Amino acid sequence: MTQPSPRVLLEVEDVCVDYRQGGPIWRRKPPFRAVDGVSFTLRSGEGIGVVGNNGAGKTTLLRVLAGLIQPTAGTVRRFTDSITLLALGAGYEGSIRARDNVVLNGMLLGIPRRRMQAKVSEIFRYAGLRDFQGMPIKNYSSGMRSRLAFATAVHVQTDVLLIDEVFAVGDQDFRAKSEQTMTEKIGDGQTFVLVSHGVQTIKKLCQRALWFEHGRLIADGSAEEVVDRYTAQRQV
Amino acid sequence: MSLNALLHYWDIVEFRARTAMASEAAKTYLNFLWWIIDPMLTMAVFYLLFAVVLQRGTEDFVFFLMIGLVVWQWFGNTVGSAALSIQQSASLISQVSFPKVLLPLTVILTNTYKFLFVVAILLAVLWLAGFPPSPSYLALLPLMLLQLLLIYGASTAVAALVPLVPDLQYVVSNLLRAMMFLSGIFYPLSAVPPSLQPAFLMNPMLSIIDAYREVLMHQSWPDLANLRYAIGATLLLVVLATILTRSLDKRFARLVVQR
Repeated sequence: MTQPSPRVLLEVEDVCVDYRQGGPIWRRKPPFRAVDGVSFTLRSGEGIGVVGNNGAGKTTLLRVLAGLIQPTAGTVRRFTDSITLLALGAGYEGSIRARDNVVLNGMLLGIPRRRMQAKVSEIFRYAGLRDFQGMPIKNYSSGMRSRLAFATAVHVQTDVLLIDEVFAVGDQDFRAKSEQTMTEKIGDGQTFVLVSHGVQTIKKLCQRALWFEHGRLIADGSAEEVVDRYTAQRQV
Repeated sequence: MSLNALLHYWDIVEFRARTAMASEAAKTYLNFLWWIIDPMLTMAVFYLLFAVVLQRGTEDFVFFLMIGLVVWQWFGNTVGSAALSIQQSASLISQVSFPKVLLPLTVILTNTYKFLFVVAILLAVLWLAGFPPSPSYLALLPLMLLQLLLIYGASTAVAALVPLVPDLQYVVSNLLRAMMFLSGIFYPLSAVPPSLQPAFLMNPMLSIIDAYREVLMHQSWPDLANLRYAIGATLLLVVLATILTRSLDKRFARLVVQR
């Protein structure tokens, strides 16, 4: 196994995130703590898998890493601006054509329109959705959306790729293809954080894994070991 | 912010506005024709009420009403739909990091395109009806710019405040309705009791609508003194909107996902 390169890209220290739970002003509910005192460091070239049951705070953690949500407490130090979050279905405008959505998404990630328009055909070809470019996104199935989201993300150069459960929805063929692409990207030194319930995928692609429970980081170690402990615990 | 970044953001707003308009039009059978039919139907309703039922109309009442409504709707429709532009973009905001001011700006641009479309038709109608263009038409440009800035200030400030206090969306829609009836769309300022007129003049939309009528119906230059409150309110709102969007930009993502 190769030694991880020393350059730190992300440093997370004691991060907490609270969500307001609503309720009328005369009977406020206490805030809900989605992420609770989490610390870890992501280095260049590293691939981290994140496991944990639903509601463990995984998605919120990715949003904090991407700089979308400011933590309630603690600090996140980012040593790069190029962080891309890839989540299912999010970020699309349902009524707009798929093709325009892809261009728009790329533009929001900072890519000039011309460059994005030049890339868009290749993205649809990769996703196997060439015949559906003009269809509004709302008519896409969730599998098609995730294919498109994945295809867009891998065609965008980024220092850190944050992936939120995108592999689960695609069909067998596309899953194989996307894992193949990820393996290539990892070979090229792509840094990424992968949230997934597919523990085999995490074992296959990541060196390291984090296990979350109720917003807390309860294990941080080699992917093999953390995933085995996580699955063993679930079977009890 | 660099010029390149600004151009890129403009590109995003323009692209979003264009695609949103196309998709909105594609939802109906009459497509973009609704951009003209819809304001005409609104005018017809108010004409029926004020000129036919209440007999309030003078002979130029139709044109008086047309100008008032077209100018008001640019403001009212934009602020009304911009109010929810940040609040309702939770899925986008929780996915990509970008300046949230682009969201109300897109709404503003969409409505401005529609307004220009309707204004072109309005000018043609006025011309055919015997209100020819005059040198005072030159005043339209600064007037539209003033209104655009007022719309930017009001729309963006409201769009930024609604995620913070979602209850405001109800306040905004009622405020807009009140403002519509107080903006002299259906009656001239002279119909208001003289003691109340100074208060009415403080409504920026009233004086702006009045200025448009001066130019379009009376071929004369608008009175700058009457516009002083409109200019003041615009400057105030522009500053407020800019401060709000800058200071809240990083907080919007959590605000819109947590409810």
